[in-house]
Amino acid sequence: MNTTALSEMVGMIEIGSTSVRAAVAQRQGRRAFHLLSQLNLPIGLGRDAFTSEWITTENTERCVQAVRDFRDVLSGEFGLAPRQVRMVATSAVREARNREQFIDRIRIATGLQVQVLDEAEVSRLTYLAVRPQLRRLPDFLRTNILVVEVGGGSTDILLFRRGRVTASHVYRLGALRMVHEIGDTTLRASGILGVLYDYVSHTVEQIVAAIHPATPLRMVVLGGEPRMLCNLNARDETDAALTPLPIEAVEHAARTLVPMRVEDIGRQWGMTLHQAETMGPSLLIYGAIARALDTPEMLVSSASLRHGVLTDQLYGEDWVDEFRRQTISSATALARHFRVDLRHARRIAHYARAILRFMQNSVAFSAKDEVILTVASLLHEAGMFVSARAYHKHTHYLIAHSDIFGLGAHDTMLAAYVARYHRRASPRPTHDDFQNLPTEDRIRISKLSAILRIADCLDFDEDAGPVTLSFAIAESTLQIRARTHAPLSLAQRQVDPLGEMFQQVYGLRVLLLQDPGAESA
Amino acid sequence: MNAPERYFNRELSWLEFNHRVLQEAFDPSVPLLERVFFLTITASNLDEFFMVRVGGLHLMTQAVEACRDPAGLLPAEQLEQVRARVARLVSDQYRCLYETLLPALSDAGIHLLTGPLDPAGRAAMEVFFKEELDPVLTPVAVTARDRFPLLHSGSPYLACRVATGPAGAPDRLVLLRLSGPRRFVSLPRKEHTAFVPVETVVCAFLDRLLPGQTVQESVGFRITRNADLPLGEEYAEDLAEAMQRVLRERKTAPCVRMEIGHEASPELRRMLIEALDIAPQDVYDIPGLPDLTALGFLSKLHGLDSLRYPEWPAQPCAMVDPGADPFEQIAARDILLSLPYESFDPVIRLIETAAVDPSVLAIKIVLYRVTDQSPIVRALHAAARAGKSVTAVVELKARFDEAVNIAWAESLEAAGVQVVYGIRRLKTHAKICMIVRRESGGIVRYVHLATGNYNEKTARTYTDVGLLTAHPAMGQDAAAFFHAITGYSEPLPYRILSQAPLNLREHLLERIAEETGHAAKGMPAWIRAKMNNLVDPRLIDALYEASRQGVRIDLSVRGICCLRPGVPGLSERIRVSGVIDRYLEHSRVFAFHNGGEPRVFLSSADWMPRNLDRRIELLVPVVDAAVQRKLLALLACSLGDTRKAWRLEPDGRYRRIESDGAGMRSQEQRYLETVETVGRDRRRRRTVFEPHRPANRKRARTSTGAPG
Repeated sequence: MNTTALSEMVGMIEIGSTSVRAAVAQRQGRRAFHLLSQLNLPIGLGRDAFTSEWITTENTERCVQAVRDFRDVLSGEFGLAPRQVRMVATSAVREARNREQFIDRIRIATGLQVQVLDEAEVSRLTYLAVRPQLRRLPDFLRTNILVVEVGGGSTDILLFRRGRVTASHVYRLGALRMVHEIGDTTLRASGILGVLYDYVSHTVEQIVAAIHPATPLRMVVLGGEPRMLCNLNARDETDAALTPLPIEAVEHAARTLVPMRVEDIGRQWGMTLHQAETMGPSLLIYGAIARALDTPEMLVSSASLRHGVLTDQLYGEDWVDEFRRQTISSATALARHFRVDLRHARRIAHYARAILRFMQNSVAFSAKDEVILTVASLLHEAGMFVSARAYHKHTHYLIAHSDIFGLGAHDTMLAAYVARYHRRASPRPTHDDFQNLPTEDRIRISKLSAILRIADCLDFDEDAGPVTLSFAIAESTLQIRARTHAPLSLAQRQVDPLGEMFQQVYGLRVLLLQDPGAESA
Repeated sequence: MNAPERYFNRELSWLEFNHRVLQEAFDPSVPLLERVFFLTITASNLDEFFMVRVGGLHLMTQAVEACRDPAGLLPAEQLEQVRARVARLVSDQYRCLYETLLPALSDAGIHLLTGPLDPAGRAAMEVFFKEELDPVLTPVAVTARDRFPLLHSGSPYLACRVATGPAGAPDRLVLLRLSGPRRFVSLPRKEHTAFVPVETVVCAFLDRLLPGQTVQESVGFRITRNADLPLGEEYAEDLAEAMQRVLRERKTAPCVRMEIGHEASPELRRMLIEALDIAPQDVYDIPGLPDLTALGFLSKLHGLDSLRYPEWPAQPCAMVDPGADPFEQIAARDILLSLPYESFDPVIRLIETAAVDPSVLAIKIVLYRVTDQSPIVRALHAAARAGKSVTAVVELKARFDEAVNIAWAESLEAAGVQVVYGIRRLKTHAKICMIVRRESGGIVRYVHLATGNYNEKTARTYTDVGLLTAHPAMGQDAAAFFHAITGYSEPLPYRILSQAPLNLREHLLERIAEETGHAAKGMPAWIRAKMNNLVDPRLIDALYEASRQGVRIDLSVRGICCLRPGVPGLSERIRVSGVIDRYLEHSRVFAFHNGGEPRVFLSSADWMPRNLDRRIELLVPVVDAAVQRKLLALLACSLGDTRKAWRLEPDGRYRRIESDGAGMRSQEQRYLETVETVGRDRRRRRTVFEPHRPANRKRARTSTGAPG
């Protein structure tokens, strides 16, 4: 038996809106893998979640059986231990009011823990899945690319500008959700196509507005339906070329399929009823987005969320730096959207990171803390977009309600609070929303906000680049030496009141000093 | 052109096939005991035909709305034509027996007594009757129609009409079942061996069996019951239980045929017809022995080898080194086994090796027809006991093997094998085995895909091909196949395999359409295919269109062929032949010209709606160039046979392909080629002796690094 081979193999189970799936992958080459096996059992959780927001007992038990079966295949056929298997759930479970009971039931019955993916994690995994294929595009670093996946309950988009993620959004527009909200029995009514286009138009307009289409824009699509249209479902190459699909073909297929009976679609296209149910509506959404963006064709990816999960399992560590860059890129794009003074914001982010890295010698920070602090720094003045009065509160609201690639809902919330407390009052007992946060979160916010407050005082010279700082701790004082000719007295006057929070959190007073090196520079 | 001109009726085509088999029994160039065996095959074939096909036609005649078959015939019309054709076939069978085979056997010193016993014969049978027959024979008197005893389908009976009183009183029927340990008894003779049918002995001793009664007449007869009974699996909680019910119901299913000695009086016939509730037109007169399958014992008589085919022992496959690791060999290249010319052992050995190999994680297999002592099933038991994940899809619906398969399924389950009883509403007919092995490079799947069953007995008499491969795509598809048919996953798109009833027909249609397109553009195009039966109208239509466009189509169809070849404007470029020889042609191999880069497939499926719509079947593309060449050679050989092949004519008749005496007999040719290849391979391979060393000495050497 070869233990190396064992460690190079991972399995995943995905509880989706229309089916429960499993996959096993084996490490192959550099950041690639070979998909050894895939399993798929259609279970209509989306039908439950998108209509009644409640997963029925019957479907819960069907999921339990499917997960048990998959677990047995993964262990019996591939020798995978539970620690090598990651189980995730997407929008159907996320939106179900009884998701906790559902997750507990799966855990009790199978011994496996379900991780409910939030929207940001879905975006991150989508990025992992599709990036190898995007990089094969010769103009990847020169063009703008919109990655779209229409799922059962939601539509995820990811916008790349010159290779950088600048936006990621999730919309509550899904093929299955649309079918159930409109009523699947009316799909064959005359004029239904017009009704459906009306239904999707609002979200499509939001997408167009959110990405500020810039030419040239290419549209890359993920999802079983376009894959089926291109006959790509049997492929598992993670870095295969994208398949062009003219928008007319998508629209024609949608127009043909929407009015058809699900049974007839299944028979003619050789697919299950669950697949057939979403085929027409899904293609209609893809077509509507492409038409609104005026892209003549879409490029169909053979990748899926499963590829992202498997890549994350096999190569997740390799991607930490890449994700940090992409998250900051996404926050920068957001800052630009809110007309933030980016030069200032970037300097503040630079100082904040420098302080955090120095403080790391005595206080523990995670890699994620640095990303959250950077995002908060870049966006700390976003609230000015709304109003200069009490703008830190607007900043909090704007960040909390934005999609930042790479940050989950929880991390985004933390970034919003960190930015909110960069000025004025520090957290107080009267701030009910803050006080209601778990202790861990309150501590993290305080630690990062205290740093951001100091960093925001250090922008001595708005016309120059960031100055070099050096740090030392002496007699309960954090000495920050700045290599600048600018007078520090004004900055120190800002630091004194704002630094109180730093002192409360770290027990250190903050003192700004001129770096002697500046004299000779 | 309307339906009757486009298609032959499948039942009549099958009867023509059986007629061709019967011609082997007539053929003086075939060794005598083999000719007897061919006769018995036609008899057992016909029994099965009645049980399944005629039984099915009977049910269809009772349907509210009868459907016409592709040839345009209603079920009742088909039945009528079948009856007429069967009557001629039966007549030919008995003519063959009495006019050809029995005289020839007699010349060879084997006598079959066909008349009544003379006094000396009766005396000689006295002991046999007293000790073996009398204790087991139970005459059953039939006193009223509603108490008619249950007659076993396929068993020969003796019907005796017995007088019950003074003249004019109605006669009584007495039935004697003739099935026992022996159907024929050897009669000691000085100069030769003679065999007497049991019924002849029984008739000689009727006075003892029915003492004091006046036997007006005694006639042999046999009934056949419908075996095409619905399983009702949609509602069955337990398929094995449902299958047991079907097996029970078969015993009382309606009679679809009665064979009776032609000497039977109208009175006796009437009594039986009424009692069995059988239509008079389903009664077939036979001029002699009921149940010709019983003659099979003659072909198994010891000695007499000069009256049999010369031995053609299966050769070791030239692509397999029996001394080397089977996994390494398969990983190195695809291996094609060509049965029965090559031995089936590599498959058995592979599964046996897998069962004890610690690197093997899982074994999955489809079992359709296995022997009752199957070494493969034994290996599966061993693998399960060794803690491997073993899955066996045991098809309980394999007709007439249901009982054996239920027993196997139960024993495998008891050993810890995960057993699946096939798929609801579908028969799992694919021949596939997958072995999952953990190796240094990760998971490797070894797959065996074949045209024949995992049955070491038929592997000696059926021509089949099997592919052993470690091709990753094939392994991935095999895994997906097993996950789908065991219910772990919905069917997912395959990378290279095609599966019925999902897309196998569509794949074939695409291939045919491609050739059609090439021909339409004036490019070379051909299709060569070998199969057991060709029935599917959609595929036939596609072949017609291909022919019209100029595709040259050569088909080797052993059995049913509904395609009408050689018809101007329809099929003039289609040629159909079929080989009937010592081995049962069973391999399904299809090849398409594909613009000069032939695409070759093997398959478990015939081109029949049954296989393409109601069975789980696989179509396997052959990617290895050497294997492709082997299969193309196989097709060429089969299609080039000029000694044992029959050509289908446009009018539906079959004619032997006559040669000038120097014709090619494909099975012989393939056997000789196999022998030659193996011999050449042996000569080329250097002999290397591999001594068995004590394990501890080997370890000591390794640890010290110095020779001892």
